[in-house]
Parts: sequence; C-alpha cells; structure tokens
Amino acid sequence: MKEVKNYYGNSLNYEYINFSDYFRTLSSEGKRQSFLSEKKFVEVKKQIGEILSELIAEYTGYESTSVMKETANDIFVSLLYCLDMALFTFESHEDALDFIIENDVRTVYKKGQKVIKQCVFECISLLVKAKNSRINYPHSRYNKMLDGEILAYLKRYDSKYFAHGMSRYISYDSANGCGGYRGILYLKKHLENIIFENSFVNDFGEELIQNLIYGYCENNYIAYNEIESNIYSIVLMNRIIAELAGNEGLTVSKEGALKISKLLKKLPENEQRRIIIDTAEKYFDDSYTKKSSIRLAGHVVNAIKNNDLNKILYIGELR
Amino acid sequence: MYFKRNQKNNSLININQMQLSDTNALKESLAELNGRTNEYGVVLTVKQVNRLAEAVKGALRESDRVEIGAGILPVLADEFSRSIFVDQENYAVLLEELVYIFFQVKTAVCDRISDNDLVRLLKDYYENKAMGSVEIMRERDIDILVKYVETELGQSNVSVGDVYETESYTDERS
Repeated sequence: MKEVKNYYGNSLNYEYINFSDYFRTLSSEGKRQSFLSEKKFVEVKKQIGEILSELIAEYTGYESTSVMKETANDIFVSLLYCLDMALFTFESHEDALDFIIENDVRTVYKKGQKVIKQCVFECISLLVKAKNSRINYPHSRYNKMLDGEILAYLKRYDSKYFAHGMSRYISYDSANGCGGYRGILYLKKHLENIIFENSFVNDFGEELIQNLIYGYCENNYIAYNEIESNIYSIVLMNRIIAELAGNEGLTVSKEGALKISKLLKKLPENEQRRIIIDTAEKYFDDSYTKKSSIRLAGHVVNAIKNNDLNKILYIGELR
Repeated sequence: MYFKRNQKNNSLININQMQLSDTNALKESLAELNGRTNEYGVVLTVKQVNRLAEAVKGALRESDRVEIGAGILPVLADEFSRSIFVDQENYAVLLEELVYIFFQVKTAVCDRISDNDLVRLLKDYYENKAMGSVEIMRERDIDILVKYVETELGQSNVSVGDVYETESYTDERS
C-alpha cells in the first residue's frame, strides 16, 4: 500500500480484520481509517448488490424474479467467500485493501473465481498424494474418506452459489482439525493435514502400525475396522508415552504405562500437560506435531485421572 | 494467525443493505404496460403504482423473500389485465392481493415452479375456480392453491379434481 498511514497518521487496526470474513472486515476497517472513501464504500455495496442480483437470476435459471431469503443469503455468503479468496493472494492487508480501492468488485470477484478453481485443482493433486501415501490399515472411515467422500465433495462443490459450504460427509477428521477454514480451503487444509499424518505414521513401518492399531482395538473391544479414533493421534501418543517410559519405539508396556501414570498423577495437571508437550517438542520439531501435542496433552491428563490410558494409546507388547 | 472478533459489526456490508429490487424499473415497466392494457380498459395511476410498489415490499417481508429487478408485478399485471373478471375498479386491488398470494404460494412450494407457470396457474384458478374472487383466494384458498400447484408439478398424490372435490369451494360460494 502506498500510504500505510492515513491523513491523521493512523493505520489499519489489524484487530478489526478477520480472515474468516476478510473482504467485509477489511473494507470496513479501510473505511474507518479513511483509506476507503465513503463514495467508494457506497460504490462497493452497489456493485455487490448488482453481482448478487445476477447470481440469483442465474441460480433460478432466469425463471424466477424472487428467492427465499435463506437462499439469497447463501448466495451472498458464497459471493463474499469468493471475494475473500481473491484477497488471500496478497501478502499484506494493505495490499489487499489497495486491490479493493483500485478495482471494481467484479474484478475482485473474477479473480476470486480463478483462485477457487486453482484451489480445486490443488485439492485433486493433494487427494492423489494422500491416496499414494495412505496408511495401510482397514480403518473404514479413513479409507472411505480417501476412496469416495472427498471426491464426492469435489464433484458436488459449487463455487458459485455455495462456495463456502463444507462437507458434512467427510467422516474421518485429522488430529488438528481445520478450525476457521470454510469451503474449498477447509478441504485443502484437511488434505494437507492427512498427508502429514500419513507420512508421520508410515515412518514407523507398516507392520508395526498395523499391530499397534489392531492391539488398540483389541484392548478397547472395538472391531478392527470400526475404530473411530484418528490413527496418527494413537501413534503419537504411543511415541510420547514410550519416550517418557524410556523406550525408543512405540511400545508402551503395562509396567511402563503404570509407572508413567503414577509419576504424572503426583504432579498438578498443568505440569502433566507441560511434560507431554515438552516431550513431543524434544523429538519433533514440526509445528503440526507441536499443535497436536498441545491438544492431546489434555486427553492424557483426563485419561490419567480416569485410569484409562488405554483409551488413547496401545498398551502392550508390539511384535 | 489469531484474529479478534470484529467489534464494529454495524459497519459491515450486509445483505439487508443491498438494493436488489429495482423500484424504478418496476415503475417503468408498469407505465409501459399501461399503454398495452389500455386496450382492455385497465390502467394504473401513478398513485396506484406507488401503492403497489409498497405492497410488494410488504408481501416480500411477510413471505421471507428477496426480489430482484422489476420483480413479479409487471408479469402479474400483464397476465391478469386480460381476464374477463378484471375492470378498472378492481384492477389495482386485485394486483395487490395477487402479489401477496403469489409469494405465499411460491414459498410454500419451495420455489419449485417458475414465475410464468405460477402466474398461469393462478390465473387459471382465479378465472375457473374462484370465479374472479381474489379475496376468497387469499383468505381461504391459499392451502388449496398450494395443493393445486403441487398437483400440477406432479408432486402430490391427489389429483386436481380431488382437490376441488375435497374442498368443494364452489358450493360454499354459491
């Protein structure tokens, strides 16, 4: 942005800008700080109205001059999502705001449509990558996700009238989730997470992982293919607790688990959490595992409190 | 990256601020239509056009709908101006009632019918079943109209004849 400060010496207040509602919050903050004139802001609203009208007409196949408010709202949110996608390509809020100031909304919208299309292609490539690196275990939800659900979502994905829509049909979640993401970005994040988890798990070897997950199901009286838990989470938990018990691999023996439980129980909960997170950080320097360990530390604390550590990892010998 | 929730929501662009329907286009269409409907002895005065524009807004609000462009009123006016039951005296009031009925039925059938088809069915009902009484259509027959439209769409198990017989509207009216 040419001017990072306005006439009064103020700049954009980033606290008022929200990535999940980017176009609206950025333009609103731009107007508040006088980067976007009142005239331009009115023009922006008018142009959004024009595009929305066109989209509604197109949606009805030009056979209806009215739609239910709910439908209009979905199309409106989809339009805004598309505008957001165009602005995400800029490195700073200032550059993104410049793009709004220097162009009409239709140009921003067209750019957004291109970005969404590109993102769909990226998701197809990521799906291929995720399939090629899949974990070889008959986890029905995991395999269903890779073999049908994601492709079905991509086929149904509606970049015009429901671009912000998320698939309710993806039944296997990644350990870290995709909080804050919507639409095609949600799927992209999900696939990136899955690819990371696949690679992490596969590094331990196919046979070892199969034995670990079979053992986990057996200990918890779950049919081997009806497991609902995230595979990566179980493997990571096994690795962390094995490390604490003094083992190098994934094995957590009954004695080891008992010893760690007793030790951790003596400590306050925040200290228990800190030990889990520190152990993960010591051996894995990637941000994904760090984030997972923060989430999973809470599960460990609860499991120790309830004496059911075997619900979150496999306790027993590994062949 | 973490972002705080926007605290100035009031200034955000929202759908209620969007000018989707075009009142000027509506007024122009109705004025243009007057030239043609004059042939059938019906025209809308400026006052009536303004009143109808307000009635559309009210009907949209009541049926939770959003309209684009000139909207449905010119289509209704064009179709009904040729009805044998319409004269200068009841023309504007009829359109006001019809707009309300149109949106109610359209919402009830979840938009599964096009504007033109619904207008055609309403006219058919108005002339052949309600015998020119729009008041009865609005006050009593909206449910029957919905069934009637669904039957036409092939989404009801009841036949059109059954709908009429069950409700026996003509008997009551006579």
